[in-house]
This record gives sequence, C-alpha cells and structure tokens, in this order.
Amino acid sequence: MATDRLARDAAFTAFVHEATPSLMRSATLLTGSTHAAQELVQASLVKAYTAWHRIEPGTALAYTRRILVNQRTDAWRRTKGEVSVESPPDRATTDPSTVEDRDRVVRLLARLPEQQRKVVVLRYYTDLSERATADALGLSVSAVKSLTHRAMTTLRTAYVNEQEDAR
Amino acid sequence: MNPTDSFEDLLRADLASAASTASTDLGVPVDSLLHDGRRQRRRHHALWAAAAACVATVAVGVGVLGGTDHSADRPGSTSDPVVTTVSAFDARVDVRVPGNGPAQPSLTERIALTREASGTYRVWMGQIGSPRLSSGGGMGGLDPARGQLLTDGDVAVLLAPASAVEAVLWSVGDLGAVTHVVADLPEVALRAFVFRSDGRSVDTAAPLESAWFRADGTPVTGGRDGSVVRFSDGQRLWVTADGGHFGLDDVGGPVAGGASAPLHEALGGASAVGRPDGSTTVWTVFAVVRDSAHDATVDFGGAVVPVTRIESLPVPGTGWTAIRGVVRGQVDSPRLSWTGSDGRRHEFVAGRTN
Repeated sequence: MATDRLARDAAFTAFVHEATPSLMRSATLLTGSTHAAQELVQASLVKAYTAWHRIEPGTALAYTRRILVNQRTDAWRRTKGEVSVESPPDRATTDPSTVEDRDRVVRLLARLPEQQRKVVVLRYYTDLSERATADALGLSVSAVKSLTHRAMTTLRTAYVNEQEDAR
Repeated sequence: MNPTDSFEDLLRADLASAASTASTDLGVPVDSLLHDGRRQRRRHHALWAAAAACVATVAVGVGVLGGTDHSADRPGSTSDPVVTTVSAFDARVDVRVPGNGPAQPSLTERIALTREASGTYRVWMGQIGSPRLSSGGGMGGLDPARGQLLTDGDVAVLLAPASAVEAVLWSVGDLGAVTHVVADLPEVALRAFVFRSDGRSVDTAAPLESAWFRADGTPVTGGRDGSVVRFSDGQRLWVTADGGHFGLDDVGGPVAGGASAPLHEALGGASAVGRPDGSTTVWTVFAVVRDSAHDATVDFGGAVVPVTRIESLPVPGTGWTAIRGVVRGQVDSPRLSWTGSDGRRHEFVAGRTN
C-alpha cells in the first residue's frame, strides 16, 4: 500500500510540474487574474489527485482541464465582471502594442458570460475541437456552436468598437 | 481569407500573447497539494464508503428527470454516456429552494426514487428550470433507515426517514449561509432536507456531513443514534454516535448548526452562543468533556459577571460530561473549568483550540 502511494504521488508530482504552465495559462485567461488562476489550478489539481486512480493514462491533462473549466472559485465569482490585469513585464524589448492586445483580449473575455468565455478559451486558445469542447463542458456540440457564435459576435463587435475609439 | 477567418486568427494570436505572459507559478509547493489531496481522499473515502460501489452509475439521471439533456461525463472517458429510461417513479417531488438574491436565483430541485429489488431505493436528482448546467445524477442502494446525503451544485439533499423532524449539515470547508427546505416523500416514507449554500459548490466544501434528528431530539448519523442531554431549562446538547460532532440548540432554530464542531480527543469542544433575551444578551458557554466532571465554574479573566446557572450532566451512554454555563451580559473569552476524575482542575477557553 505504501509503495502504491509513493508511486502514485511520484506520478502526480511529475504531472503537476508538467501540466501547471498549461493549466495556469488557461486559468489566467478564464479568470483574468494570476491570484484567481492559482486558486483555480490548485483546487483542480487537488481534485485530480483524489481521482488519480480513475484517470486513464495519457488523459490526465484533459481530465484536469475539464475539472478546471467546470470549477468556479470564490475568487473568480467575486471578480466576475471585473478584470485584474497584471502589470506588463518591465523589459525594454516589450512591444507596447503587444501589451495592449494582451490586455484587450483579457478585458474583453471578462465581459463575456462565463460559458461563452470558457468556450472561447477552449476553442481558440487550447485549440480543442467542437466535440472535445462539448465533452469538456458537458454540453452538446450544438450548444458549443451556439455559444461560440454568440461569443464571437460580441468579441468582434467589441474589437471593432475599440479600433474606432482608438482613431 | 474571409473576415471571419481573419478575426479568428487575430483572436487566437491575442489569446496566445496573453497566455504567454501569464504567470506559470502555482503559488504553492507540490507537497502542499499532495497533503490536501490525501486529506480529501481520506475524508471522501470515510464519508462515501457505502456509496463508492455505486459511483459508476451516477450521472444518468438528468434526462430521466426531464430536465436538461446534458450528459454527464466520466473522468477519462470519451465514450457516449449511458442513458437509462425509467418509465415511472415510486416517488417524486419538486422542491423550490430559495436563492440568495439576483446573483443566485431560486431553483427547483427534483428528487425521484425507484424501488430496487433489495428493498433499497435508487435516487435521481437534478435541477430544473435553472439556467445553470445541472449535475444531476442517480445513486442506488439508499437504505431508508439510514438516509443518504447527495449533492448537486450548491444544493445538498439529505434523505432521511419520514420520522426525522430536523436535520443539520456541516463541513470542514466554508459553506457560507445555508438555508434549507423540507419536503416529504410519503410514498416511500422518506423526508428530504434540501440545503442550499450561498452560491458556493457544496462539493468544493467537502467533505459534507449531516445528521437528522428523531422527535425526542436524538441525532442520527450513519444509521446510529447519538446522545442528547437536556439542561434544566430544556436547552438541548447533542453528540453524534461517533463523538465526531456536537451542537447546542440556539434560539434561532432547533439545531445550533453554528455550534457544531469536531470533538477533541482530550477535551471536547466549546462554544459561546449568543441569545437575545429582552434587553440582555445571554451567553451560553458549554463544553463536552470525555470524562466525568464536578465543581464546574465559569470564569471571565477575573471580570465579575453574574453566572445565572452552571450545570454539568452526564451524556447518556458515552461516559462524557456536558457542562454549560448561562451568563448575563456581553462577555469575552469565557473560561470553563472543572475537576476531572483525576482530581485535577481542567479548563476550556471558548474560541481557543485545545
């Protein structure tokens, strides 16, 4: 039993090191805040650990991402509708336009309803297919298509408006 | 490239840019996650041992219940979900559960049961009329005499025998403000106590535990009767059968959920419960001691505070003693002290971890 636990913990530890960057990036897009993202990823990993024996080899990241996108943290709820954008790195090589683009997409994502935001992140950042996105969120493919359409319409309008405001 | 493709490309680029500058620091060491994970596993196993065999059948109930058609997923599985069709239920009830303002609208929780050949029941549960995705599902093997706690989002349902008059829910995690509604399922002689947290998922506050109470005030957990003590004014102190939890009736309700706390091995626990009594606040200070106790006193750091009553009574069948002091006036850090069977004085300070 002790040997089993040691093996399980070793495998899980390796998985945490491997998966954390990817999960943190997705969580940051979903929450708009590093702190909320950390809480979300920590909680998701703990849940994944409790189910580790049920996770099929090679599916741990997809399974944990599924937990992540289906979980709502208190911090996330408290900041819903708001967005806390981290300060840009203090580097001379930073391209200001890149920072603006990054802040813009995080800010606009935060305006979307939660399910639309999740769909956008899974489809256009994680590059999941409609089927895989539907599986991750427990939705039908048609629901994913509908959410995607509404989110993209909103985002496209927001992008255009921001461009016009900038002129 | 059409305009849609252009915008999708732009969005992908912006998302990738934003993600590339995101912190990848988890914020805690992996050991901390392992510690939390092990603790949750232990509690989960203890709480759900009886139900573990049924987990594989969970989550096919929503379609059966006539709610949303979202199929539930099993971890690591990409196969189509199993769909079960049940033509009739032996009992079904829709419970309207109030929310907590615009951010958490009211919802209707549907609970349905079918009788199994073994004399147990299969339970289906899901939310209807809610924009939120339902996580409803089914679980078999419900023994009506023992009851069962089931969860669905921010809702937890304790199915208890129809004779249950009260119930309480508690958690190591923070459930926030919890309201509850009672609904009867007379066809199957069960009563549903439907609890709702203030918006947080009850699963994330796990492990959840619950007790229901017989008409004489006895708490029942896992089919086992606990113990109850009534002080001279009728106030009840209850202890679960495993000694894991206790509570004191509060003026606001028959069960002091806020006074529930794990019993400590050596001392027990204590709490001060404020009770409005006209213009005077009455504080009740109590402890459960895993020992006999006599010559109990209440002390407030030297302050002169009149103690209306102090009583110490044996908790039937446990070998423990319940001590309670009723004090007039606002007090800080009430300290209970008593002489134990070893002849030495012991003390408990409310609010201090012993």
